[in-house]
Amino acid sequence: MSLKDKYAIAGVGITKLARKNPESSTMGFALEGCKRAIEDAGLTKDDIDGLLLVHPSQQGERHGFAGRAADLLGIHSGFTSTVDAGGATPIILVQMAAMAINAGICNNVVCCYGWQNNPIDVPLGLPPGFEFTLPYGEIGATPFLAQIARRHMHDFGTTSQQFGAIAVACRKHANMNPNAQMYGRPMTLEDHQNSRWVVEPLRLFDCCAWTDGGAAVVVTSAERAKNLKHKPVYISGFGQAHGAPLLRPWRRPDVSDWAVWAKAGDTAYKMAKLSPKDIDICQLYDAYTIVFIVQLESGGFCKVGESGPFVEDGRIELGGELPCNTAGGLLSEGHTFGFGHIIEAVQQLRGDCGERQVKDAETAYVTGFGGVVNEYPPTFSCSTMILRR
Amino acid sequence: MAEFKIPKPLPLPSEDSKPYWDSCQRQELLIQRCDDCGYYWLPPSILCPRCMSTNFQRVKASGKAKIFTWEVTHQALYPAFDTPFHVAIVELEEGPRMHTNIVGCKNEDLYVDMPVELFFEKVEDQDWYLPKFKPVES
Repeated sequence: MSLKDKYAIAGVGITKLARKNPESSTMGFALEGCKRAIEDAGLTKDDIDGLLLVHPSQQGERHGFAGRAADLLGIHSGFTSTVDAGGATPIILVQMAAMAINAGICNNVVCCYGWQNNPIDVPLGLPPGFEFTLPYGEIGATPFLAQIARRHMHDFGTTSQQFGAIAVACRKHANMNPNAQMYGRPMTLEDHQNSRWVVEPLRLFDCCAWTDGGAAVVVTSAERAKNLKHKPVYISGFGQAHGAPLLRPWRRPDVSDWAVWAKAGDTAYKMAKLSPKDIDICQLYDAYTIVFIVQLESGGFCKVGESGPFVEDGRIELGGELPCNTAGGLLSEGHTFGFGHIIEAVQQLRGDCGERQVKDAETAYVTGFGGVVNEYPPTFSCSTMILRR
Repeated sequence: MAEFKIPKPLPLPSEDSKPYWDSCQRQELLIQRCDDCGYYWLPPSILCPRCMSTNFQRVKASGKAKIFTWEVTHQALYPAFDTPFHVAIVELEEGPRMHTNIVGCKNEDLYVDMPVELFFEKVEDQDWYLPKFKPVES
């Protein structure tokens, strides 16, 4: 039976977001996010019986993160796990929460992340598995997304100015969000074009912020959500897609390699019984401007290859045809693994966004995108969710 | 006092990739070919990613390839390489794609579909050969 609208996001919480914040650890930020989300829902910790977390890879944590987090929160969890799909993880956690509640093994699930970029005494490790990339000098997400950006530019004529239009839209929105890392720091297209190369063809302002922080959301049944503090935001559809199309081309000549992630959107639309034209706002994963482009095309808001012209002329800005990343996105709100996108979608649908509120927003399309760039084959996961009020 | 130089990182092969790296030390690039469906693949794996067959041969790649995409790193996370430098993804004539460097070509002269050919380059100060590519001489 379809899970459409049977589960809801009832609470959201986000910590202060900062380039460097030595006041807390990866665990500490996760716990703070959870506390805020539980309180926002109007629940107590004793109501929570499930806890799902983004796997914190090396950020001062290794084993047993989920179990210890549950103990430190003082919750008696019946369903706890970490998930390792990079920036696709937060939405996958929400999907898992809905499925676990539906399975009858828990009732109220907190999904969260915490991240300390500079944990005390933890060196950057070079583990096995980097054998096909690092010896050539490639390490980290930026070079690999630059490879994708170059190919998009080659295949479709996408330009750096079009990447810039995305960065500028996100920055504009961040300047209406006092919790955003780039609040009070406006940026123009000219600033974007003058910013230095990090990994060509990606400039500094094509890359998201580095962020210490944490965030969480509470997932519960639609019935329970109706009796809690806020208007429920229903989970209408969700999907996932995983693939390594740039390293391992499709074995299907009829499908573009760029369309591998479309499955995530198609699955969500089918479940929600909606189509892209029914969507009022988008929160698209944007660790880099090129990632936003891939998400826009995967979500069916334009054809593969057409997102460059699509993002120009303010179409994705507040007041435009399809307002996107209204809290500033990873590019300018901060790298919250995409939790910022879920939380912003919830707050928009609640109507709580003040200056940056999209009038009468009823539906939101939210994506996550992440994976592995150093190990072979470099694989990306895309997760999607359609929310409604 | 001699200047301290961060050594170039070498591959740490796994059980599955060891035959590949061993062949590179003999200056041969071995890719896998499925006996059942004919698919060629990289990275090394115990089964065919197209048909899941475990029947395969390790065959020598022709060495002919073209650039699929590339990037130029100006700000590097790992300090063993002098910036700016490029990393390319090339597509072998047989189909598989791999990361590599194009040697003997300026960063600004690289282009998509540029024909390149395989050679093996000894890693600076280390007893290790990496498969790399150079422009095809016209």
